[in-house]
Amino acid sequence: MKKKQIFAALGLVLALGLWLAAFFLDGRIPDSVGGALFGLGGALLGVCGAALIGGSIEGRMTPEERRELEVGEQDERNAAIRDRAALKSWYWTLYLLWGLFFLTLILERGPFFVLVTITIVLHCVFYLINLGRMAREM
Amino acid sequence: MENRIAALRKERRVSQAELADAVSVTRQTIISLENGRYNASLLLAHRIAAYFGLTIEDVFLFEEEQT
Repeated sequence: MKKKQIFAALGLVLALGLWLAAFFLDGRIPDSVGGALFGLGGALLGVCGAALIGGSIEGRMTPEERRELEVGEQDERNAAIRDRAALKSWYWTLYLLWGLFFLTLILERGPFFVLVTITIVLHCVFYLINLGRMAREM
Repeated sequence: MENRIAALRKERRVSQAELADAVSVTRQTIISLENGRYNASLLLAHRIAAYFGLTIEDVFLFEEEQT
């Protein structure tokens, strides 16, 4: 628990460092690198900030409340809901990718077409890998 | 799949929260089981049956679902 909080705090410091680097190096580094630093910093800030706040809330819970939280996390219906929601979301993402695939074809956007195609292929490869893994595990 | 959880609970004057606590699930799961919206896993079915001191077949009524 404490280890997680330390990593989250370090992540926050790193996020601020990335933002400051993007701000002070503006003009001296390519715009794409500046954008990547800013984006990465923002993502780290979100993930680590949420982990810190979550840890702080959990730390103030009574043993009874903590037990309720654990039961809620391990509850088989909640686990089934999470799994199904994740599966449905993946399908929606795939449909979205196919939409983008045809859009890039119509608009003749070469680099985006390649990126979208690679993403769709990777999605299918991950799906096949996980099918194999699950078949061995179950 | 139908079940007799609500009837058994009322018969033995057990609240949904008490049953949920005893079988380590949330109260919402007990509500969903009683409403027939969720089918329990074999493990949970076993825990619930054991809580009432009955067999799984006594609590859960297995019927071939018509498609």
